[in-house]
Amino acid sequence: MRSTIPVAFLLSSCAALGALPACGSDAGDDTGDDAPLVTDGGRFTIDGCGFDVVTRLGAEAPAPGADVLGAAPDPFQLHLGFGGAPATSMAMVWRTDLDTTATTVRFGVGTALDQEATGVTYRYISGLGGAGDTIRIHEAHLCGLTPDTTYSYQVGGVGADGTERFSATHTFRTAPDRVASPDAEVVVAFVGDSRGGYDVWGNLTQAIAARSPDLIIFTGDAVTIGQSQEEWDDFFTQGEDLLASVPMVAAHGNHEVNAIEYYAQLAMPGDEEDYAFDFGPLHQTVLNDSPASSGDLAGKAKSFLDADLAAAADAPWKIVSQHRSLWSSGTRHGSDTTLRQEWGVVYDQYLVDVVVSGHDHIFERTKPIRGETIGATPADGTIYVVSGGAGADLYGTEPQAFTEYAESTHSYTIMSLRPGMLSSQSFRDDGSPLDEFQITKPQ
Amino acid sequence: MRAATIGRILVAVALVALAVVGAAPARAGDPAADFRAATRLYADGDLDAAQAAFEAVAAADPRGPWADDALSEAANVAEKRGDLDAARRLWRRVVDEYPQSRQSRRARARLAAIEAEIGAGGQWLEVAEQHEAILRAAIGVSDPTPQARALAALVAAHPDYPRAPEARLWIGDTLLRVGEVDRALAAYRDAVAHAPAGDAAWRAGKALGDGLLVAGRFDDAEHVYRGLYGQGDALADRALDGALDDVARARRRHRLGLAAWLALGLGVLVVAGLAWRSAGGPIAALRGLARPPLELWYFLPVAVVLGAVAASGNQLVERAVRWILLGGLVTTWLCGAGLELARRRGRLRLPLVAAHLAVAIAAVASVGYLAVMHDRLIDMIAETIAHGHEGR
Ligand SMILES: [Fe+2]
Repeated sequence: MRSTIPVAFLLSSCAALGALPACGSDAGDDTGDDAPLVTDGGRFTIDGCGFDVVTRLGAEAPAPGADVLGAAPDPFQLHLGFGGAPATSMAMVWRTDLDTTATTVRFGVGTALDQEATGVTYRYISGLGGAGDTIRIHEAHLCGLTPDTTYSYQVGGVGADGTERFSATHTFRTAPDRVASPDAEVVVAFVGDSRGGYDVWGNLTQAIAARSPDLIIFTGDAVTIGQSQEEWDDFFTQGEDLLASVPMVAAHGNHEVNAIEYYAQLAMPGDEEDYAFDFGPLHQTVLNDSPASSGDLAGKAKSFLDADLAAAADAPWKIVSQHRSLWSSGTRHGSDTTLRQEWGVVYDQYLVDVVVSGHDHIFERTKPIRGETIGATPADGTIYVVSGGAGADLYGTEPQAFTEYAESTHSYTIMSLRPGMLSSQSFRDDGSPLDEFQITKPQ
Repeated sequence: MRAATIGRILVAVALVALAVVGAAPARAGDPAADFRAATRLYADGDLDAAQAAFEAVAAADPRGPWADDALSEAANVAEKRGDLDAARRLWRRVVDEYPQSRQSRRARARLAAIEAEIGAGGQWLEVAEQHEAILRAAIGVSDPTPQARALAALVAAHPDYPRAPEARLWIGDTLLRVGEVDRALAAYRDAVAHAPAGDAAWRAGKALGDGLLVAGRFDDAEHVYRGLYGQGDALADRALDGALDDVARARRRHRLGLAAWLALGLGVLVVAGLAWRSAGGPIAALRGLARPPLELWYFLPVAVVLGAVAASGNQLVERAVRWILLGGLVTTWLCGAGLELARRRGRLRLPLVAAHLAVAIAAVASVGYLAVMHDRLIDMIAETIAHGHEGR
């Protein structure tokens, strides 16, 4: 029996937000254009979601959507993410002109659009040293959704005079709940390193869409210069067809340089650096291996990883995604032995099934590895996949003893997971099959 | 092995028959266990038996909780087997019979993709299946030249096949990967000649340009890229801007590389000529140059230590250091031995020392340049200068 959990209308009325200055009676008049932009970041607690939307230094504090439509209020660069559990929540992020603060999602089960939620909006200043354009972001989180259910939605807003400007209608599907649907299958796409190759990235997203994944994990380096808004525009514009209907979360890459553009434009769980979530039978952990403070690798990130994997011991499948590769035969970067020492031991301890990374612009799948020992069957260790071919100029490969298959090619990887079997297929950007493997486990 | 497979298929077929023929209600089996058994067949690579077994699970209890998943897995397996007809039929059933299921979204996407491959009326089914079979045969193969040849034959026999444009590009890419540059370029030219106007033509042209660039035919690559402007969108034009930058850079590097080789050759000639003059004859010069000079004994331990340190780091850096050390060794030896030879014949004169110095500087610069050019290590250095060190 499907229980109907009432959807929490976040920020449904200003009365609930009395403490917020932006939600006063004159909120509608304040387009923020004249007021000096304070970009110290901030947080906003989302009713019914159990987490906050946090903006960092470089962006203003998130404020609830109002009823202002600017001169160009049509949503663009719409994409999905999530800040909570993907079985019961979904986030929409989109842009408009600077003046538009109306931030509304209309949604419903199936083809209905009978529910409405208000999101938050904030601005940030792009560019190196904040020398670029000011960007308006709208971010809405739907919580209390029904697991394993297809929803339709559109984003946009209503002006004070009742004028409506909404996007086209898109759909998304929530993740299955592992307890309620223990046998459900999920399909996850892994892809990374698009920087500079946005035409290839556009083609890849179309090919990925034809595989209809439930989730996309981006393994970092979406752009060459994290503060380059032009590059982010290419990234989101080229991917919009796919990203408006499949949620994407990312591992931070070294080229993102912890820029405000990265954190402001993506909706991800936790601190958006080191986080984890359950997606059906998959327990997915994501780590930032280029943190602002390199001490975090052995400190904060490792502690998080340790606690997270210890708590996820029962998950049918455990995958970790990060940007740099612990094992890679790429001639440019190769294996990161520091990360092997810091994190590899944890992967070994908790028997992580697969680690997917990027950084080297190649495709590679290793043999199963535990410690420094190269095994033969998946039971012997973790399989490391380098999926760094989302468009950036390719690097060379020189197969090593640990290499099962490596190729210098643009590619993406699709993993289908259900308890007992993980089936992975990788494809080149021309759609041709590149590699495949399966892991089975007794249930 | 084969008998076992046939046996499994027979068991699976029997299960289907049992399910279809057997009277309602559904047989008192355990669909979860049957599904897992089918999954094991799939994992074992026994795809024929796996597909039959998944279909049997769906047939046994069409309204049960496993039916939609089982049909989807059967469709997945059919795709892996290259049986596009069966895959289309199975995905269609998921769409029609289980429109509310988790799988229907994916089924719709796969159905659309397969129908695009085989044509609306399925008229390209056979060709598409052969195409799939060839591509699958090339998975993980170190030399896929036979598959490239087979696909070329297939496309030549069916020039109107809707996926022929992408097949021609695959042939070019594959041949380029195995170093068959000329044949790869021929494949790209074929792709350009046959590509329908629009996106396919742009992609084929871009691939040809990229191939020409790899082949070092810079003028041809530039000509092809320039001809593509305006055929795509703004992003496509920007990709061409980048490609033209690549051509200019490659051309510059190629010229510098030639100059470096020339400098090295000239250096050897100069040192040999000076040694000849100092020694008074070719044999004496050779003998003099063959004797390791004093400088070498200083250089050797440095070379050994640097070489060992480089070996523990990045592969490209290691290779570059190896070449630089080798070049340094030869330069030190030749220049040092040449100077010693001259010293033994009398006082060193300034022009001679200057000539040796000039040769050594040119040689070091040339060897250094050629070493970092190799495997595009120079890109990594440029990136480090532009974006800073990666840290740690
Ligand atoms: Fe990177």
